[in-house]
Order: sequence, then C-alpha cells, then structure tokens
Amino acid sequence: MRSTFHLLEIGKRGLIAQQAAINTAGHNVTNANTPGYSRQTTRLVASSPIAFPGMQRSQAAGQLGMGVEAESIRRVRDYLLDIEYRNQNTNLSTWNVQQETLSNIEGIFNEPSESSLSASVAEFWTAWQTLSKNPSDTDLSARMAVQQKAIALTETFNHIYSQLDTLRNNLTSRIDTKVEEANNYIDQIAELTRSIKRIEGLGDNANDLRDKRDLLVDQLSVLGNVSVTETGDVYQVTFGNQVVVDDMASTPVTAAIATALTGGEIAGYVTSRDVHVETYINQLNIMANTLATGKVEVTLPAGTILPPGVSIPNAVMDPTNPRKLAQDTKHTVDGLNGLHKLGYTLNEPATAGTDFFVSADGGPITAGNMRLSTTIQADLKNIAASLRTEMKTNPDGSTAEVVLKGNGGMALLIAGLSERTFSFNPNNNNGGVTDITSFEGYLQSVISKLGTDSSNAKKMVENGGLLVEHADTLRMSISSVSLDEEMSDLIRFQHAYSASARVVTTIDEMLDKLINSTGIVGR
Amino acid sequence: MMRITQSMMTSTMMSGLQGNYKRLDKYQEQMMTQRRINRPSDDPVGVASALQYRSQITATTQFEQNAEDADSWLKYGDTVMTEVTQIIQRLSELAVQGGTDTVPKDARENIAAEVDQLFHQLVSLGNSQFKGKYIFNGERTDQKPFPDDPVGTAYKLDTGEVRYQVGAGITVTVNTLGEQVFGAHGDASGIFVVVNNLKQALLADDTTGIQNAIPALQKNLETTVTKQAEMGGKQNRLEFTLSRLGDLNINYMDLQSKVEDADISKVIIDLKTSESIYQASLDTIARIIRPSLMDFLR
Repeated sequence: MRSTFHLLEIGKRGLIAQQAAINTAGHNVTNANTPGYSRQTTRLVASSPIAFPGMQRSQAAGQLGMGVEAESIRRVRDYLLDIEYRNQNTNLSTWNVQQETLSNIEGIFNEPSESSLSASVAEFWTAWQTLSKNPSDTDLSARMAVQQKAIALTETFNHIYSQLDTLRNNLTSRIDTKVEEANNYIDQIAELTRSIKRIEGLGDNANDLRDKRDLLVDQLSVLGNVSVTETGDVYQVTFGNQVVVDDMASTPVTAAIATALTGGEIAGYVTSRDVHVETYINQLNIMANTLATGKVEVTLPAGTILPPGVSIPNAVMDPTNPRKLAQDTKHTVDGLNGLHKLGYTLNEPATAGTDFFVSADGGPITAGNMRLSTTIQADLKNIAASLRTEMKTNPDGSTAEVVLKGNGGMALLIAGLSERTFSFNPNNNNGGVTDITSFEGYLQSVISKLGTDSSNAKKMVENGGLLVEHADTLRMSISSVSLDEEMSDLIRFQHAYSASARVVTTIDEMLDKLINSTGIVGR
Repeated sequence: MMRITQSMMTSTMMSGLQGNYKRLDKYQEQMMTQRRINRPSDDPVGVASALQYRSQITATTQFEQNAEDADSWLKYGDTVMTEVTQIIQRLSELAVQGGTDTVPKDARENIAAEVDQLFHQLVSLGNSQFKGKYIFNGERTDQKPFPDDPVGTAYKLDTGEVRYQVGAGITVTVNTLGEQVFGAHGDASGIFVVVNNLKQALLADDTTGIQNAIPALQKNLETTVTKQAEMGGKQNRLEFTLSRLGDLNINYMDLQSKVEDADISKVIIDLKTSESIYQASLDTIARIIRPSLMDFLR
C-alpha cells in the first residue's frame, strides 16, 4: 500500500538528483581550464521500487517507482590513454633536454664565425706563412704574429674546453635538482593516496584528488619513465626500476636512479653530460693533442741541417756534412712540437727549437691545459723558423755554429702542416670521428657531427611533440570539459528540475483538493 | 566519434601558433644575419663545406699576399739588375774609349778614376738591401755579402734559395744568387776582377790589358741580362699565379656564399608568408574561441 505522500517524496528526490547533476555541470564549467581536471558526470539511477514479491503481496500494481537517485559522481577518464601520454611525455622530455644541450654546445663552438676555432687555426697557419717570408731578426713583427696567433689558438681551445666543462658541471647540478623535484612529486603522490583512501573508504569517489594525483604522475613522467599499477585498493608508482609509492608508503630516490631511467629529463641530462658533452670534450682534446704531438709526415728539403743527435732512417746525407740532407727527405714527426724541434731559433750559437705547445700541468696536452711554450712567450727569438746552420769563424779563430737567419724553411713546413695528414690519437674510442685526415678536415667532421646530432635531436623533439600532442588530444577528447555539452546539460537538468518542482505542485494541488475541498458534506 | 572541446581547440591552436611563430623566428634570423647557416645544425653537411671554403679563402688570401711580396722582391731585384747592366755598358764604353791607341796617359788616368767610381757602385749594388735584407747573399740575408774590396778581401756567399709559398705545395724562389751575377771570390771572369783589371790596365797605360777587358765585360753583361730575363720570367709566372689565385678566391667566395648565405628573395618571401600565416592564425583564433552555446542562449 503506497503512502499518500509518495509522489511528494518522488518529486523531492527528483529535485535533489537534478540539483546534484546541475551542481556537477557547474563544477565542470568552472574547472574547464584546470590542468589535469577530468570532467565528471552524475550517475542518475531509478531508486529501488517498493513491493518486493512476498507472502503478503499487495494486489495493487507492483514495482511502484520510487523516483530518482544520484547514485554516484564519477570522473570520465581512460587509463590506457594516461599510459600512452606519459610514455610519449617521457620520451619528449629526454630529447628536449638533449636538444637544449646540443644547441648549447653548438653555441660554445660558435661555428661558422670569425671568432671560432676554425678561424683561429686558419689565422695560426697564415701567421707561419708570414714568418716564412720574414724569418730574420730585423723584422720581429712576423714572429710576434706567430706568438699572438698561437696564444689565441690555445686560448680558443682552453675557452671552449672550460665552457664545455662548465656545462658538464651545470648538468650534474641539474640532475640533482630534478631528483629533488621527483622526490617532491613522490611525497605529494603518497600524501594524496592517503587522502584518497580515507575518502573512498566511505564509499565515495575522490574524483578531484585523483585528478590531482594523476596530474602529479604526469609531471613525474616528465622527469623519468613512470608506471602506475592499481590493483584493488593498492596503488603503486614505479619510477625507473624503483617502486617509489607503494600504497601509502613512499621511498625517495637518489641521483643513483639516473642510470635506471630509460627516459625523461633526468635520463636526458645524464645522456647530455655523459655522452654529448663528453664526446665533444674528448674530440677537442684529441684535436689539441694531435696538433701538438700527432704523427704527421713532412718533407724536409735538401740542404736541411739536422740538429745534433737527430737521425732519419734511410736518409741520404751530404758527404761533407753528416748532418746535412743531400736530397728532399720524407720524415714522420710528432706533431707541430716534433717538427718545431727540427728547426733552429734565432739564438747564437745555433739552438734547436723546443716544444712549441706545452701542457700547463705537465700531463699530456689536452684542450684544457694546452699553452704556448713559456720560453716562446718570453722571447720571440725562441720560435724556430730556420732549417739551416753554418760554421762561422770568430775573429779569435774559434768556430761556432750559427743559424742562417734568412732561412724560413721551418716556418714554411709548419705553415704547410695545414695541408698535411695527421694520425689522430688512436685511443679515441669515445666518439672519434676519423683516424687520418688533415687537422682542419677533422675539425670539420666534428662540427658536421655536432650539426647532425643537434638537428637529429631537433627532429626528435618535433616528432615527440607531435606524439605527445596526439596522445593528449585523445585524452582530452575523453576527459576535457566541453562548454557546449555542459550548457546543454544545464538546460536539460534545469528543465528536469523545474518539472520535478511541478510534480510537487501537482501533489500539493491534489492534497489541497483532498484536504481542503473534500468532506464538506453536512457542513 | 571524437569529442572536441574548448581546451582541445586551445591547445591545438597554441601549438599551431607556436609552430608558425618558430618559423617566423627562423626566417627573421636568416634575414638579420643574411645567412642560411647560422649554426651547424642548420645544415650539418653544408657547414663542413662552409668551414672548408672559409679556410681555403684564408689560405688563398695569404698566398696572394705572398705572391705580391715575391713580386715586389723580384721587381726590386730587377731594378738593381738594370742598374748593374747600365754600369757595365758604361764600363764597356769607357774601355773602348780608353783602349784607343791615341788616348794620352793622363786621359786614361781620368777614365780610371771613373772606372773606380763605377766599381764601388757595383759593390754597393751587390750589397743591395730589400726591406732590410741583403738580396744577393742567399739565405744569409742578415749579412753583407761583399766586402768593400771584393778583389782583395775574401768573401763567400750563401747559395740558399729564399722561397715564398704561392699555392698549395707551390713555391717561388725570389732571390738571385750573388755569385751568379757578380762572380765568386777569385773568379777571374767575375765582374769585380774584370773591372779591377781594367782599372789597373788604364793606370798602367796597358792598351792590350784595356782591350782585353772589352770581351770580358761583354760576357758579364750577357750573364746579367740572362739573370734579369730569368727574373722577368718569374714575374710573369707570378702574374699568372696572382690572377689564378684571384679567380680561385672569387670561386671559393662564390661557393661559400652559395652554401652559407641566404637567398634573400626567398627569405623575404618566406618571411612574408610566415608573417601572414601567423597573422591569419591569430585572426582565426580570435574568431573561433569566442562563440559557444552560451552566446546563443537568450
């Protein structure tokens, strides 16, 4: 037997349910631009009808409707799309960071320009050309040019090296910052998981908190590859290979996680530092070292007087002078240093040249420690430009070996190194571009490789960007708020609300009839 | 069917706008620098060629400089040789004049005085310096080749060749060896000995001696002229080299420009196009973003 006020109750339930739906639409509209927000829908269900089958079943029509109920409010979201989005996001961030680093390295090398390494090298060679024309001490300006261009060249090497070194250190500190950022996210995710558990324990959906948590996981996916598993009540986040959120517990990560990450900014910074920057520092060291000491074959012209103690296998010597070459002789020297030692400085008596380039710290020559020899910095006469000496008789009858100052043969040979083929340091397993080529050819290959690396990274960023955009579009297509949709819903629910109110009016009128207008017989 | 929402449109538009703006930036950079390659990644292959052309241009410019320097050294040598020729010609005239039987003794003494002057001039020509360097002493450019009395005092000249590089692996010898022009010490047919003999013969009133000097002078004149012709030949070769280097330089610059420089008309068109595309996207966004159902309800 139904109650007199049954319909009043149904009307009321309608009002409440439609109002809940309107509230949800309002919530959606106001959050249309909230990052990470997924639209929510109110699930309306018909209330369980009365009159269950039983022994004392009423004879009236059964399954009498009990109106509507807002059963739940759920967010609309597809977890598979989240996974796709996060994977693409991780991949994009890796390349983003690498592209940034490579573009930085391009800036450091600053090629092609008037102030780059290749320009310094070209000017260095031409300074030797000039010296070959003015080797004597009457005109020291040519020697000055060689000295200054050599200093400029070593400074260019030092400068590029130190900038790359700074970049390397910056990347290390970036890694630390990013690890800290990851821990911050991890803490928040665990904190939210605790809140979500508390709320959902009561049977509700913690929609907005879940949105927040998913947003945090999205942000974590920028830093490294992340995966989420939610089985039953247990929510787990894995970062790299480490479970960082296990239900309500969180484990912070350390910089050591970097090696286990396969993508994301942290992995990008590690690759940038350990592969890219390291490669170009190594290339630069190879170049500096090879220029100074790499094996190179030169042709010593006939008439060259070898310094005492130097002998060239199979060379044909002048019968009158065992140190004088009788014919043009090919000889392999150890770089510019080795060649320079075969020449003579302007000093009296004749003195052979010393190492032209030295290392500031006594170790092997690298781009960082390469310097012009201090003796040459101190005295221009110590640059060896001549290949010939002769015996001079002093007024007292003694003889001395003196240099032929007008000979610029050594300067010419050194200037000619620009066309010679060097053997680049063979132990360059870390990204050496090629073994045997001219110095400038090597430099060009390195720059070309840098360009390829950088433009490749640019393309990966572009492609990655498109993929992220695509995944995000798919996700938004499911979860983002459409104002048109919400407006239609508002209208729909508003009308349903009005209609429910009308139902209440109807029952009111009925009751009025019943209570106030009936039973007046005999009054 | 895929739902489309306001935030999707905004995000698509934002990324589209970013892309258009980026393109605008790229063309603006090309416009500002007038260069297509501003960093290696702009054209990784092209940048290697660009660097190569740049270093070729530096080298070629230096070779041009060397060739010009070689040319001026040779020109100077040429001038000296011309003077030497003139002196020998004058000496020949004097020998002919003094060799005539009828010339009185005191006249021969006068001629001898002039010959002596010319002898000293020859010595000073042998000690000519170009930019502070003695040009007839091989590579011993810092030492005076001839003593004041090259007949009486021993001297030994250097035979080294001063070479200037005027191309990859190409050198030109700029100096002329003094011994080949003036003769080594003690060489009886050398100019100094010949002139000295002439002077002595004039002073000694020795007609035969004077007449003997004439063919010896002639021989020296021939040597000098031959050497001078050799210098002329080198200068000719240098002229060729210089014009070739000039062509080469223009060629390299042309190639460098082709690789590195922006095609300005193309850049301008690209810039204008990307500008109007950017403008159009802004317009479109302004148009699309506003209308929603709300605008049509009441």
